[in-house]
Amino acid sequence: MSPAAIGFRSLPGSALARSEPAEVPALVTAAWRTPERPPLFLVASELGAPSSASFAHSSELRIKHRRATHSVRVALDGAHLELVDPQTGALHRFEVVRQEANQLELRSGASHETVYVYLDGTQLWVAHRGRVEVLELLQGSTLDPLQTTSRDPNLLAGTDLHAPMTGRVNHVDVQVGELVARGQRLLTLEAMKMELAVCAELEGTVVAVHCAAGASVYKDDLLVALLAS
Amino acid sequence: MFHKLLIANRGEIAVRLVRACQELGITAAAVYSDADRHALHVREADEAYHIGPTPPAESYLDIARVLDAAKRAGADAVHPGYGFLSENHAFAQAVVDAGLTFIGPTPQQIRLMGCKERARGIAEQNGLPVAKADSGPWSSPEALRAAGARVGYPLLVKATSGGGGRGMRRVAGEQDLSEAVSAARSEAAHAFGDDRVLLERLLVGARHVEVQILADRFGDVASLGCRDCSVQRRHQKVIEEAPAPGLSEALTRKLEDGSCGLARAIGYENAGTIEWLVAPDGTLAFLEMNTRLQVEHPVTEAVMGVDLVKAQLLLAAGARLAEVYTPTAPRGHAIECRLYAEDPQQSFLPSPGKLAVFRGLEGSDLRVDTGFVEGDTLSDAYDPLIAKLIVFGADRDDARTKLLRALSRLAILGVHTNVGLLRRILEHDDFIQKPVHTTWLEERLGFLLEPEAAGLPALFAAAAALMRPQGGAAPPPAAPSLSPWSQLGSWTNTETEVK
Repeated sequence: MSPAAIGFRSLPGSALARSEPAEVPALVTAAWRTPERPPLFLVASELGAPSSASFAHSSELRIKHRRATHSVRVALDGAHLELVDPQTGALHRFEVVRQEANQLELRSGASHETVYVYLDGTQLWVAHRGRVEVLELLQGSTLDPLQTTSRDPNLLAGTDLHAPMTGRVNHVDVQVGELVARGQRLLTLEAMKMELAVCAELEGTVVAVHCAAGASVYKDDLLVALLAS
Repeated sequence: MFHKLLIANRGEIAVRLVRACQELGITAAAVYSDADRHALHVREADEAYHIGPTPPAESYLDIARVLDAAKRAGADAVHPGYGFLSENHAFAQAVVDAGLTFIGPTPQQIRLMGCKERARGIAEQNGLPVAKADSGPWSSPEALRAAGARVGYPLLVKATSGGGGRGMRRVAGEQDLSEAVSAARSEAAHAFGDDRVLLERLLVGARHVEVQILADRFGDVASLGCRDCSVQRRHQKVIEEAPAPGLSEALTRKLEDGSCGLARAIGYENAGTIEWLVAPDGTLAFLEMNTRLQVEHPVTEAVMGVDLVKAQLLLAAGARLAEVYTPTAPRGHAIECRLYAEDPQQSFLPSPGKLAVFRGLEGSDLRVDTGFVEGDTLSDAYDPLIAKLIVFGADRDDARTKLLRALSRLAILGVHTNVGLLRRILEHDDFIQKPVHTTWLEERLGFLLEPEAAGLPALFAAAAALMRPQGGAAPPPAAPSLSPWSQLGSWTNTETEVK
């Protein structure tokens, strides 16, 4: 069944059941894992096709692909996202099953898509089914890019955690999407038989984990990206 | 056998040589320039020696520095790989003079075959068919025109000391001749330090077929079948396969016998390749001999069940041919494609840079020869080869479809590559149906480079997944009530604690 053919029902607890748009929380990052959680932006549509009302609270993503500029309406909710293909008007629904540095596992209906990404400034390189496309993220979106690849510590207002020393990752305590408290241990590093805990400097959500247990890291390598809450 | 081998090269071929050494119990000593300090071949080798700055002329092409590294390492043999100093007879001589073994033929043989004109002459003397040619020198523009008319059009202007397609120009008619000659001259002078060129009749619609040979120092020569390398752009091979498809047994025998005959005639030692053109009517023309390991050697290894680098090492150590190779018929089919960091949509401009993503290197019966791992930087100082993908199949179509699948899993981001073009070639009816000729790729480029429809929803979804709401990275708000978390109501992002 194509995603567009699915009839959308209003679900209990849906934020859109509320009448005041002001009460709708700021969109949360799509990097979250929210298993078995009712999606926030599944909206009633008796016709089964998306109406503009479905996206009353969606964001707009402005993207240049080849020579065309696309304005994509996106609703993000935890691990789920919905978007309208600007070329066909069809609604597509994806679940972000897994997200690591440079690699996304998406599910759309019965199909699983592995998508590789590399964000270089405003250029987004995407490899999907062996094809590479370079997208340009344009000004005017109501969404900002989450810098997942840069080592520039200023880009995320100091929320990225870099390796304090060269060593080996012993254990990673957190997963993408996890909410962490200030001071919480995120991972442990080992070098020259000394173990060092790397802790969150502020409260927030883990949006990317750039290392795994057993990995060797150099001093100043990006280890974990946090989104301050 | 040798105890330590100096690998006078970089990139995928250096890594491939390191592996052969380690499997044979030989210590592998790598060399590196400034840019390659952390390169894969350095990391994989048992030892590594710095030989100078990034520019090849001051490192990988500097005979004195490479030899100095061999001395520092205490190596007893040197393997030149391909490119760089591999066909430089002065280097081979310097290695021998230093009391080390050069893995390859003798300096004299390199010199003999390195001069295209002399190689042609030797081939002709030994009864090999050659294309009509004129090597000048031409004293005047009139003399050049007369030479062009004698050879006939279309013709090729080739650097006398050339190789790898550089210093080569295709000339359709007299009006383009003098310009092509001067362009080829300056390119040849730059690339090989020798501006001599020759004119050679071009066989229209011909395929590039080459014969791999192995020879020992006792005069035994064996041919290891034919490779087809007709998919080329600007005389640079893009896709190679073995065995050469659709060649009659008689033609194959002619090619192999002629190649072995030439090798015997010059007392050739070690591994070498004799390149031929095969016209649609079966006319053959000797092209040249490469006195080194070829980039595309893995396809022969796959179908002949032989490790050519190990064979080279054993032969150089004095083994007899019979000890390193048992004549067999090729089994199955192998195809190799070369992944280049270049942008086909931008006139194939080189695309150096960071290999930010380099994944999905998997597939059935797939061999990946590369000098890079994810995160490495492709320097603009060296050639744009990222990797070679080699697949083995029961037959040609089995290999082709396996390679296509492997390419469809591959993800290289951060630099532009020719992966899309490779896929379009492998999917093209001409390639599937029949062997193509050497100008096929350039003739079909317009079609092969037409943009394909992109699966936009998945691309947009990927973009959206990397997004956060505007202002999301702002510092935590002073008042807790302003926090989005407090506004979620019954919704939380954890499994516990529902209010």
